[in-house]
Amino acid sequence: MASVPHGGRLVTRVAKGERRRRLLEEADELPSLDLDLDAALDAENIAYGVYSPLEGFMVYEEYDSVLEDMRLPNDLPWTIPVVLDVDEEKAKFLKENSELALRFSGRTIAIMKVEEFYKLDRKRYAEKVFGTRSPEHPGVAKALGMGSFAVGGKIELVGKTPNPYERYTLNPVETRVLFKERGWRTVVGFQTRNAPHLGHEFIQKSALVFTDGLFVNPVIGRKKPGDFRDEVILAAYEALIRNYYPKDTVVLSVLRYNMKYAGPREAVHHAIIRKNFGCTHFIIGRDHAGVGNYYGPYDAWRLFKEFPDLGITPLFVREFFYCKRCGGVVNEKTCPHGDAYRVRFSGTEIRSTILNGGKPPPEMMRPEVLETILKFKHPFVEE
Amino acid sequence: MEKTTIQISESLRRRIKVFAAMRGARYDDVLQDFVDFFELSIPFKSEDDFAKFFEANLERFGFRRVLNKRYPSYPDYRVEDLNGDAKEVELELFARDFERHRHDPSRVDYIVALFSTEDHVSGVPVLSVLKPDIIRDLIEHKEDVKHVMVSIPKTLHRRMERLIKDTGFGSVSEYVVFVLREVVASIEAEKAAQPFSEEDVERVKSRLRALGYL
Repeated sequence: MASVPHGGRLVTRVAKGERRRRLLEEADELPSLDLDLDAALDAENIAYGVYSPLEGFMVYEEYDSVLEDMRLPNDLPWTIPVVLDVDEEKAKFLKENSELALRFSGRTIAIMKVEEFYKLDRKRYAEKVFGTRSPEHPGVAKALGMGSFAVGGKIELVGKTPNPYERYTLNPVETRVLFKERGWRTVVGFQTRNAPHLGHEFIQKSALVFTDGLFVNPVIGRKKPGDFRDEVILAAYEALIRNYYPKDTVVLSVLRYNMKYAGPREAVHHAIIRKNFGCTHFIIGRDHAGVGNYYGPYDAWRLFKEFPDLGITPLFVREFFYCKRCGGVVNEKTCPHGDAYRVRFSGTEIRSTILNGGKPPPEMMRPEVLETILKFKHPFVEE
Repeated sequence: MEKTTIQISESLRRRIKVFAAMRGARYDDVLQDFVDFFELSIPFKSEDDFAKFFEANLERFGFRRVLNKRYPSYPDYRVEDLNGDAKEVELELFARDFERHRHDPSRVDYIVALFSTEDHVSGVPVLSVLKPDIIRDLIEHKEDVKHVMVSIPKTLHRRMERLIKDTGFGSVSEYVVFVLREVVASIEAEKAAQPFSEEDVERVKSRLRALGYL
């Protein structure tokens, strides 16, 4: 049975036609707030139903409930607050029950009906969401740099952020129609931030054995130097799918979203997002959405057990590796041989090999994928 | 009013004094408050009253009917439980009295008590009306804006207590919340409407074709 949107209804908060034109005109007269890319992408994700059932940035009751109980006030699972922070100076000019134009790069992208603004305790936010206050944690560092107030209320989208990957961007209504057209009743979602190696491929194919379709959904957003560039990841996946997957078993589409690195909480958040896209299953690997050593490798698996009502089935998949004795890609559940025979898939090692002019062996990365990557003059994000 | 003397431990006397000081009350007044509270919260003047209560509320304790009443001889009752099995029961206002009365634990299956701080006394399981956690729950729930109380049969509670042993669930409440969320979510999912209209579908299909997805 196809997945039901989180909360039972797919949210659409996108103004069209005459209404959009009128709202844009009126926006010129409204007080405005400049958004950074993270907040602008959140606004788009709210409007297109990626964050269903949210219809706007969270008001205090929602924010507090998510921080404390990992649920919305109506009891639906929700683990990451979606807040629009503002600094104190800006908060002075905000009025409840008024309208606010949300701008990105000087253009209005949404209109918010301000329901309330409230004080953000950034340390509490960091501790609850990331489980640490360490400023070394990239999510915490960002949280501690947020404005000291938040403004909450429903939004209506009237514009869009520039999107270099329009061709690969599908909203939840579109993926749902697509899955239906393909006759998929069960769909497994796969989140990635990397070009695919054989470990990824085998995880996906293991899941695809018992689902109708695979939804490869790379996160497109801020990356750190040395990471594969977004266009490289997409091209590499295209090559993999073209050469190694049966026709019409995979959909490749991007998620425009900035990672929080909130480990277990973010893993649940990612699952909810994929549920809204129409997935019935979601792959959770080792240290999903983790960073450094802040989370145990299987902490996310444990957290999922607190949500029997999530509405999407997490597939907990152990790491795959190449076993020289088995002569193939296996994992701990399928291979009895010891570490001496095992070659681990390491994204860092593969990147470093390519960066130094080498070629990862075919048991690590498909030649067609490697060839695609090597066609790019600069496949990695630079300083 | 005529007064009498009761012996209490030195540590309890000190606690009452501290409690009195916190309330700005006299020690004797606090003692009187405790006696009033005791009288109000324990409606039975004797074990006879409690026996009548037990017979009128067998199901609360997980029993169906009295097979043999021996009260006040030991053991007080032979009863049939909800599975149809015969059980021997001894009534005590306070479960610890079972030890004080030097009863033979091998001859009973349950102690039915008005109050007990323990689940077992002399190795015999205790079914008590009042337990410290019930009182604690009552106090906590009064201030708890996030939870409401739902009554379930005591017998079901007991079954679940056994069921959750060594499962990682900390309490029956935790388990009930888990199960209910699972059930409610699945019913809601069945009732959810189609997330898009037929017009949406046609519009979306043409974009999907243009992008090469269809």
